[in-house]
This record gives sequence, C-alpha cells and structure tokens, in this order.
Amino acid sequence: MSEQGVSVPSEALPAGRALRRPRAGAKTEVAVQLLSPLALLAVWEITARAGYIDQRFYPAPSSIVQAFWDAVTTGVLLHHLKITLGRLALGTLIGGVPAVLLGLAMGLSRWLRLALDPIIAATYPLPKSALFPLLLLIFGLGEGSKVAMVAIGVFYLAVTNSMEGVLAINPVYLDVAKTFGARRLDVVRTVALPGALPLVLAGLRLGVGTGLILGVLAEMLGARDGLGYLLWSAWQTFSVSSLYAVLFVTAVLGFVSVKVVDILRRWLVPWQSGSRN
Amino acid sequence: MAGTGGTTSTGATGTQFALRVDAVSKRFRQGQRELLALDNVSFDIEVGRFLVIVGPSGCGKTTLLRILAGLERQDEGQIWIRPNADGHPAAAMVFQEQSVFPWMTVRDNVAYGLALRGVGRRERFREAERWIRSVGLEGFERAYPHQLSGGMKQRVSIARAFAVDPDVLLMDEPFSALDEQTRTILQQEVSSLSEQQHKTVIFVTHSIDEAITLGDEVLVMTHRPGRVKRLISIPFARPRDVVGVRANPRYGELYEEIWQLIAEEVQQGPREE
Ligand SMILES: Nc1ncnc2c1ncn2[C@@H]1O[C@H](COP(=O)(O)OP(=O)(O)OP(=O)(O)O)[C@@H](O)[C@H]1O
Ligand SMILES: [Mg+2]
Repeated sequence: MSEQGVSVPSEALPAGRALRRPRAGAKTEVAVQLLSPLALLAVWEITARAGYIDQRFYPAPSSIVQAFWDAVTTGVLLHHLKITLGRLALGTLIGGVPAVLLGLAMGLSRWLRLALDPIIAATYPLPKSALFPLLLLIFGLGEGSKVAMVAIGVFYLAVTNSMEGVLAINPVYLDVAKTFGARRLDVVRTVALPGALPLVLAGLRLGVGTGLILGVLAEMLGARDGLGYLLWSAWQTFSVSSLYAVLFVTAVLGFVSVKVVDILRRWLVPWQSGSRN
Repeated sequence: MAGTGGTTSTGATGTQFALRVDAVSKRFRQGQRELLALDNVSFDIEVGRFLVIVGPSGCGKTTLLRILAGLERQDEGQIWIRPNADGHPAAAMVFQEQSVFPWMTVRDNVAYGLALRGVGRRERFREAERWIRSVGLEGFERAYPHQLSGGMKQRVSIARAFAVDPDVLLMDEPFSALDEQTRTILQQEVSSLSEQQHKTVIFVTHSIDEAITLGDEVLVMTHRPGRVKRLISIPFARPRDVVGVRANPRYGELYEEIWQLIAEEVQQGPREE
C-alpha cells in the first residue's frame, strides 16, 4: 500500500522551469531597487503624520530633511564631517601603511610570522572599543586618542589580510620565477607584491569600515567635535531629527570611504575582471 | 642510449649531448614513510632532439622535470646540462598547471624572463611581440590572462619559455587541459618551433598519440618508483605534419608497442619499497 517507491513529483518540473524564467529587464530591476526605499519613506511619512508611530522616536522624514538642511546651511554638519574625515584619513594612513608592510613581511618571512603571529592572534579578539579608556590615558583627550582608535581598527584587518595575501599565492608562480632565474628581491617585486595586492586591498576595505566605527565611537565617548560628538549631543538635547540626519551622513561617509578603496583597487589591480559588482 | 656515468659532453660518435641524467634517485617524506619517487634513472639526449616521457600517474615525471629545472634536488645521481655561453639558466619550463602571472599583461608575461635578465624595455617588448606572433596571439599583447581562454594562456606559457631562448625546454603535460582541436594546433606549433629553433625538448604526456606525434624518442617509465622501462625511437622525419603522421603505417605499430608497455605497468601497480 505504502508509496515508498521512486517517483518524481509531477510539480517538480514546472517549478524547476519557473526558477529559470528569464530575468526581468535591467530597467525594471533598477526601478524596483529605487522604488522600494522610496515606498518605505512614503509609508513612514504618512504613518508619522497620521500619528500611527511615535514622532518622538521616528520623526517624519520631512522633518529629518529639515534638520539635515539646517545643519548644512549653518555649516555645522560640514565642520564636524571634515573633522571626522580628517581623523579617518589620518588613522587609516597611520594604521594601514605599517600594517600592510608588516603583513607582507610576515607573509614573506617564516621567522617573522612565527614571532608575531601569536601576538596578533592573541590581541585580535579583544574588542577594540574596550581599548578606548587606555588610549585616553595614553594620548589624552586630544586628537591622538581618536586617531589611534581608527588606526587600530584599520591595522588588524590590514595586517592579517596582507599576510594571507602573500601566503595565498599559488606556489607555481614562485616556481616560474625561480626557473627564470629570479633572485629573492625579484620574487618579492614581481610575484609576492602583485600577488598579494588583491587581499591587501580587501583588508584595507574592511579596515576602513572598522576604523570609521571605532572613530565615531571614540568621538561619542570623548570628543568635542566630529560626527560622533554630534550624534551624542543630539541625543543629549533630544533633537531626534538631527540624530537621524547625522546618522545618515555617517552612513554616507562609510559608503564613500569604502568606495574610495574600491576605486583604488580598480586602479591598482587592473588584472581582476569586473566580475565582482 | 642509457647513460653509464661520467659527465662527458660528447658521445663516442662525436654527437653532442644537451643533457645527461645519470643514476638519479629521489625520495619524498610522506609523514612517517619515505616514498621513493625516482629510482636510478639514467638517459641522455642529443642536442636538438625531442624526447617524450610517458608513464603511469605518480611515476615521477613531474619530479624529474623539476629536478632538471633546478626546483628540486635529487638525493642520488647527477644531472648535467650543456652550459650555455651567456651563463643564464639553460632550461625553461612550461608547467602542468596554469602558470601565467594573472597580474601581468600577455606582453609582460612573455617578456618576464628577459626583464629578469635586465634586457631593456624596448628590446624585450620587441622580442616578446615576436613570440606572441609566433604562437598566434597578435592583438592580445595588452590583454590580461583573465581575458584569455585556457588554450591562449597555454600559448602565453609557451611563448614565455621560448622568449628566453633556452637550450632545453621542459614541458610538463602542457596540453592536457585543452580541447582536441586546440591541442592539435599547439602540437604542430611546438613541433615546428622546436625544430626551427633547434631546441632540445623534454615533453611529458599521458597521451600515446601525442608521444608518437611529437617525439624523436619516447621514454616509457615504470610505475612508482619511476625507472626507465624502455626507450623507443620514432622513425618519422622532422619537420613533421602532426596530423599526417597518424596515417603512417608505422604509427599503429608504435602505438601498440607503447600501449603494451604502459599497460603492463598499470596492471602491475606501484611496487612497494
Ligand atoms: N613535494 C612532494 N612531497 C611528497 N611527495 C611528493 C612530492 N612531490 C611528488 N611527490 C610524490 O612523488 C610521486 C611522483 O610524483 P610526480 O608528481 O612526479 O608524478 P607524475 O609522474 O608527474 O604524475 P602525474 O602523471 O599524475 O602528473 C608521487 O607519488 C607523489 O605523491
Ligand atoms: Mg605530473
């Protein structure tokens, strides 16, 4: 009686075909991508004005735009954005450059790897935010502690990815170099550096993101300026619309800084197809 | 033909040797065990000859080429390669796997060996472009490897090896990953180029057909540990039409003979040390 035999459910075929339905046109796809956030904003605006959601926590988008516009026209937003941007850039430079150099050196030298990998591995899991009090102690309330926070965020991701970048190089490329008579420095120049570059930049990309998180956090906890400070003071004065406006700007800054690394990557790594994105 | 020691460069009849392999053995450690990959391998090749090596998988063909290329050291025995006038590495290798640098354009890849020798930009690019033309890749000088098909990448590898004008070319199953048409075309190109340029070639393959088509001699190796089982002369004159050769009545006999030798080895399996 039981139907345990092998059978193909007849619905399987149409379902399989449905999966392979030709993709909608590119224009339709773009339209959907643009319309869905706009629709969300519209619903938000309407429900906020109608009093269905609490305007104290979720002010209507129009009032956020107003707050944003006020902050722009008074120059306040730009002032603080510039400061955060400066800290992010300086921290990325201070953390990223030594990290890339050290990571590459660790990838190339087994001894350096043996010596330093345990230290990095042991300190890596520590939440970097927990270091801020210590950094305040060391660098004081000035610029140093904030920049150091960004630098630490960039450093760890850049150092580990740069090292992995060298280690991930297919050994056949080293063999090729050797059979053509490459000396050690030639190998570094023609194989190790270019071979590691894709992962180096991937590390920087992640590092800049983390650096921004830590930088803004540091500004909230101990600064008199910057986007983090602006966020915090918006909370303290309960100007919720400004809070949203600054959040938006911070998100844009994160997006743009990652894009900058992407542009750098397209320029430095022209041999990787545009297959990503 | 099998070498009997000594490091002379000239045979009894005055022939010039390009390379001599004399009683070479190689062991690998695999965990606790030692694995004998090559056992007392000896052979010589005269200048300009095309030697094809066939043998069961794992018999040490790649290991032998890597020793000849200086990437690995034998545990016993000696190799001798005719020194060239300019003191550069005498042998260039085309690898079994994809080995074109992804971060260099086709032209930079082909010019790589010359760049390492300090040849100026203008001159090495001129030389590279000549070889790119020889392997039929004109128009792709500035392309990156990801823009090329598998067959085109292998052409780049071949051009890169020829560009340094090596006396000896070591080729490890260079066409095994290619489709049949591309393989036939590249076989013809390598056969013609090595003939024109008077290169000595050691070419590893699993294809008996390829061995007969290309080789002046075919060296059949035993199952692991790799030894020389038989050296067979291919009597076809060169330059050779790699397709036409298959119609030769001797082709079938040679195929049969080599197939028998390999089949014996494959049936026997690896010998335990
Ligand atoms: N670096 C290594 N370490 C340990 N064992 C190795 C190493 N290289 C090769 N071997 C072993 O030596 C033997 C010969 O390997 P080799 O790659 O030379 O074989 P092959 O004849 O080229 O095989 P194939 O036809 O499959 O390419 C194999 O058993 C392999 O496992
Ligand atoms: Mg092999």
